[in-house]
Amino acid sequence: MEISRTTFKQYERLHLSGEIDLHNSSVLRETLLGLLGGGEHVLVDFTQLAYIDSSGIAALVESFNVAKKQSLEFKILGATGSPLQVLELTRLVSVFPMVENEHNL
Amino acid sequence: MNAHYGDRQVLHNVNFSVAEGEIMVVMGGSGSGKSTLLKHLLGLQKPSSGSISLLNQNIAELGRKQMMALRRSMGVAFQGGALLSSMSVGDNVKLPLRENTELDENTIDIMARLKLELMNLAGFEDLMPAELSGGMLKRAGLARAVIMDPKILFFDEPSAGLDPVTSVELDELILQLRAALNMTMVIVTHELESAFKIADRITVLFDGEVAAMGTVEEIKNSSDVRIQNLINRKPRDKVVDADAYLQRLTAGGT
Amino acid sequence: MKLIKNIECDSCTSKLCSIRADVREACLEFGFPDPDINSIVLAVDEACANVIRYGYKYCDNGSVKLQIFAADGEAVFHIIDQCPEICEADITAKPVVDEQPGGLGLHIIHQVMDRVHLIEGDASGNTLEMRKQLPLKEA
Repeated sequence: MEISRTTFKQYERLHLSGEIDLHNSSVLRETLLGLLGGGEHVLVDFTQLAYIDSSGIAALVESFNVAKKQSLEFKILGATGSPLQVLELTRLVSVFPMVENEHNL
Repeated sequence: MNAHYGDRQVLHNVNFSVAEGEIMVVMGGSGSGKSTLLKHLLGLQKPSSGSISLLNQNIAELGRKQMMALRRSMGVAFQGGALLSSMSVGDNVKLPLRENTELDENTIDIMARLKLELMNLAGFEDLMPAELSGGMLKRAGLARAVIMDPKILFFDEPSAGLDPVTSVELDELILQLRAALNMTMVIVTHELESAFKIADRITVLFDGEVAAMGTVEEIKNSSDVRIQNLINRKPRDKVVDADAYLQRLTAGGT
Repeated sequence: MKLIKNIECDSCTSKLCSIRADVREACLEFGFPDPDINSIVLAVDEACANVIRYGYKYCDNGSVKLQIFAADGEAVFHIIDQCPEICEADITAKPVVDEQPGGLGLHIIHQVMDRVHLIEGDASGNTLEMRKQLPLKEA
């Protein structure tokens, strides 16, 4: 997994790539919580993400909950393939704000 | 009957009867209310409204002694076998006879051996529960449940924890037991294959309500989408309440 | 049952990636379509991750064995650990919208696989068996 950061509109955009699993999901969690702790709106970019397991999903859920409590925006961008399937299996597609592409933002 | 846990209603207008010698299977996913129903049938919990009759007796109206007498006509086999680990298999099976009857020890021995024989456990009576496999534990639990020749047998999740082969064997045993003793059985399970094999009728619970009741064929042919989903093991089409879901996933924490 | 793959590795989270690659490869051989492969890989990964997380509590000196079999019309996955024994209740999915927090991994496993059971293995520890019906071959 690699995480890089850019700014896009009002968001801190986290570009996720590679595979997120139990081995590295804590890094994602810390990064997300760090950004939200700094009061940033977060856009989690899934476009290059090949795989995410339930521990990665749990990090997103926890962060989204924090964002809501602090009235910060938290969106998932461009989920397809396996990561999208995971969100569907866990019925989180109707929980997270999901955007197909950046033009919809 | 209706049942509540605090303010939450967990069983809604559940109404069913089981005929003598009939095998009624209660099905439903986790959280459907089937365990709650079983607890009520056993008289371990009281319905918030409605009534439960076992062997023509309204259990709410029974005093402690009458309830104990009724319990002697009921056998219960729990999920894990629920044998006492400090006692041998034989002593476990004999326990209800020793506690509830004045029979002499020789009679008790023979009765226990008969039931162990029936459960293909002959020769295992001196072993401790820890020395038995999962399937044997189940059968030993079943032997104990039927040692008093109950009129009604309640069986909680017979196949849980068993490999498919053992689970099929246990189904056979349940059918043999009914044929031999004409016992009425209420069996709670989430295993479809097993339910279809042993049931005379099936009651399907969803969210604490009876979604369907009927013969195996009737349930298989049900047009209820939830039942078809259960049969085909598909996730339920359910609108997710995003906030409530998120709350549960995060346990309400931050 | 015909053994297709037999993999053994340390109970270390860094091994999950290669386990997924092996499962993916086997699924391709089985002829599963892409979406099914994704979800099967996920389910097996979740099951192995549970062993590492809850069974070995992140100690990486344990062993996780994955055996993949072709059985009668089914792909069969055995995950074998040497952890303290667990029971069927531990692997029962709690419906994710109905009940307690957590348990997403188990929920996924049960959603994806047709059958999930504990079976009796030869050695100590646990053997989790997950079965998935093979895709129907086109005539």
